[in-house]
Amino acid sequence: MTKALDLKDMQTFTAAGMPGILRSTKDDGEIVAFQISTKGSVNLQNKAGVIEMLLKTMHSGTPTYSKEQIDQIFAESGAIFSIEAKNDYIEVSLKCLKRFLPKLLPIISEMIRTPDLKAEEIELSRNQLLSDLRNEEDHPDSILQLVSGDAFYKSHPYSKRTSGYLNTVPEITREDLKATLPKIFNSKNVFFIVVGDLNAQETTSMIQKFFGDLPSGERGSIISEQPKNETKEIIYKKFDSPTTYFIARFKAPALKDADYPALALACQILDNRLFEEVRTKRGLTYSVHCSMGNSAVNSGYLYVTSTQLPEAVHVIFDEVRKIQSQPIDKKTIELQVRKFTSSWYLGRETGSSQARIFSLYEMIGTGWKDSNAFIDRLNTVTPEKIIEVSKKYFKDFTVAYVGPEKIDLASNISGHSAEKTKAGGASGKAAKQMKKSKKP
Amino acid sequence: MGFLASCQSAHQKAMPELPTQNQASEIGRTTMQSIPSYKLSNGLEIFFIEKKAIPMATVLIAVKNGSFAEDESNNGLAHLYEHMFFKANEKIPAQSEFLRTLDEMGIELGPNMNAYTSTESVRYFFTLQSEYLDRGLQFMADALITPKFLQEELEKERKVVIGEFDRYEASPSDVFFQRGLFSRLFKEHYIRKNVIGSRPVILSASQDQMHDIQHRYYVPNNTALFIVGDFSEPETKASIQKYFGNWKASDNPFEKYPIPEQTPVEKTLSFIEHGPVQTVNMVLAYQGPSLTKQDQDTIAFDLISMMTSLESSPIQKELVHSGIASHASFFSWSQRYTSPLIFNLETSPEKAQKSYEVLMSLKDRMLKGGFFSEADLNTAKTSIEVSSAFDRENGQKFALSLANVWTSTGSLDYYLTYIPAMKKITMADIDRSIATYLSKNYIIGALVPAGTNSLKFNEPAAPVAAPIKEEKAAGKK
Repeated sequence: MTKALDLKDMQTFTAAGMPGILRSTKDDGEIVAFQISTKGSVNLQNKAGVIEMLLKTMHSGTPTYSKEQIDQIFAESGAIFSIEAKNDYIEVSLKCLKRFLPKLLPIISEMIRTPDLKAEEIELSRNQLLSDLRNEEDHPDSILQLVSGDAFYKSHPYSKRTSGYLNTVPEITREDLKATLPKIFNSKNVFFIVVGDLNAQETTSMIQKFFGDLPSGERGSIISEQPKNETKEIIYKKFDSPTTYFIARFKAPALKDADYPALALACQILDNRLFEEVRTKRGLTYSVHCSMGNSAVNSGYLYVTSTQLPEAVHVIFDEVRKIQSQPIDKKTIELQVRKFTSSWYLGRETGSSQARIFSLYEMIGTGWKDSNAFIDRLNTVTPEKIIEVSKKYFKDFTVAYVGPEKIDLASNISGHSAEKTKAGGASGKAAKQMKKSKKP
Repeated sequence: MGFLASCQSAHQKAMPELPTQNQASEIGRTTMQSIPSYKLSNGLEIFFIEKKAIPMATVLIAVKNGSFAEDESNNGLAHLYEHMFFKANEKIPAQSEFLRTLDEMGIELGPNMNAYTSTESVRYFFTLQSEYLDRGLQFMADALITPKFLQEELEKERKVVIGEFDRYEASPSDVFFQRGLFSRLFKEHYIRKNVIGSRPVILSASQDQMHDIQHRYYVPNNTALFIVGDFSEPETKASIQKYFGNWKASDNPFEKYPIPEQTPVEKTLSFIEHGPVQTVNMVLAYQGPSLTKQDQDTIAFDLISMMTSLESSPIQKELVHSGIASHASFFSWSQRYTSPLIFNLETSPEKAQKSYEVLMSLKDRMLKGGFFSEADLNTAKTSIEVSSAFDRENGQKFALSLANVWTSTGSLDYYLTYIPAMKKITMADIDRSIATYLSKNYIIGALVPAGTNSLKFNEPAAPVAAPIKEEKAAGKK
């Protein structure tokens, strides 16, 4: 294992009572990754959309810095800065040259402690968010995410998504934002991750100086409740596109679950087979996937776009049945682990990518110390285990499709006998387009 | 803005990528002094960039091909060829063996391996564990030098590409940008900016056409190989000689088949398209400078793009902060055959007219000079310089950026001299670039929700249906 990947040189620290980890490295020159991860996200809001509106408005001025000054200082340092809300946790991420830390950290400190949250800035954020939400209905991929997400997470806390809905965002008030801020950014709920050419003394002094005044509060919680996922109907939404977009969502184990490595392998094997059977051999699609997410309440999906959807779906579910019944040989598993190893290395190429992985394991895994254990976990998976998890998780699908016309799909998907049409559907889950298709 | 990593296909909206460079500068150890390179006797150019952070190496082949080399008869075939690249060849006779070989090299399609076709480049790459590098080089050489283009595989892959075409056409904004805007901005040679191509051409593509492309463009003297990552230079050189050394050089395709320059926009025109969208997407577009001819202007427009994104910019203040637009930007896509320069904003149907008026007023003020401040210019310079260092952290991304420069300009000089050249640009240069290009004829257009009739442009309306040559060609077949 190369130095950059070895956890032996990791240091833990406490600064002003707040925990953190440091990878002190000189390999990346001046580039430093600085991250603050906080637990809780959708469950910290009283209304869907509060988190996104808060994060947008936090950039728009603090007692010391105007919006223009904040932008100017970040731009002239060339820093890459983001605050991203996932379902379970929130990440404040900064990548910059070490020399700019003293300029940038005071701004971040004020942003997360004492943002102005001026009324006019809140309105600008609201309008931008509403515009983004309206745009979700312009593309079949985002509509697919909307309708399938609504059905899959019906009544589940994840349905109160951080980007909100067209009917919740207008209701959000400044008080909602102010009440949510200390639930996220308080001294009991932050975890610092630093990768770069800094020593422990520099790091703790810096955190003490700029973040020592964070208010006290409570540790955020991670949701464990599973979605009911009782929707048996196939959901259809009309969209005049030349092809039809299909998704079948399924429940999946979380990162720390014992089944996770086996299902990760099963998903990758199935994904490869779908590429070969649906795309390469039959030319039924450009884009077909099986993939698994990384939330505490996890899910996965089967996805395809096709003008011959019944045939494509039939082949997909044939392959699902095969992986549930036919043993995978050990050599295949070994080669799949080799591919995971390549991706594992790529995910650790830069300081900021390492910080994201430490954060993932610390927030919803078994702690950052286990972040290098994934390949070892994969190596314990047996052919029998892959069949077991395939049977356990590739079932009870929430199925939706978006396209120009209704199609009879029920006979191609086991466990689905009726269809319903979901009309309208302006509200829905903020969707990013499904991952780009494999090529060539 | 800047040098696009470009598109998987033309259907993807232009995604800005910061220009990258490498020259001694204030960024110290994050900059590069030079990029080692050499040529095989057949003309294949090889670039080595060592990065030891992880035991992985990226192998990337860049070919000077793309829609810029196409006409009505073959629009879309550079992209189809890209799809056929990793199919049967003399060493790997079937797709199933191809996938097995990838497994053995630990390469997962998608994250570790992909291929992109753009207007002026086709790039094939994979990132693998360094211990498999020799095998990876052989694998790449076999695909590059000995493709079979089996009829059965071609027929299936044509359908796959049409599936990609369908997905492109499912996105109203992508179609608006590509077909609505580019067909008017690059009217005469629109095909050369249309990577996704023409359905009939794709559906009727033949083995002979694939071989024609192979013999014309897939020759060593029109190709470069990039190795980025953790590798042994002597061993890798030996592997390259072994697998690529016997590849036969051929004529320079661009001497035999010269590429026409884009013709200027004859007349300022406007167009409005209605679609199944909820917001208004407005564009104001110009033909800009060309790489290798007006390099300084391409860099100036990168800086302008960065300056317009600053919150202190009048573009942001008067369009976004005022609440009349939700997003506003300007970007330049640096190209050898005319870079598009595009103002883009998103607004509501109710505020579209006002947005248009403010946008045109801002453009007029830019033309008068002194629109940006010296402080804005310095901020933009630093930002681009630091960002370029960040871009080099990721070996795969770095290789893609370098390859893009090489295919458009024929060398990495533009990349190597970018930052010093950028640092020399003055406010007077910025004003001169603006005056040179933004005073020309332009195209203004909008994609509006169906039923929206409130937006009126002052510019004369373009013909209702833009004359897209690929569709004329389709009609003939």
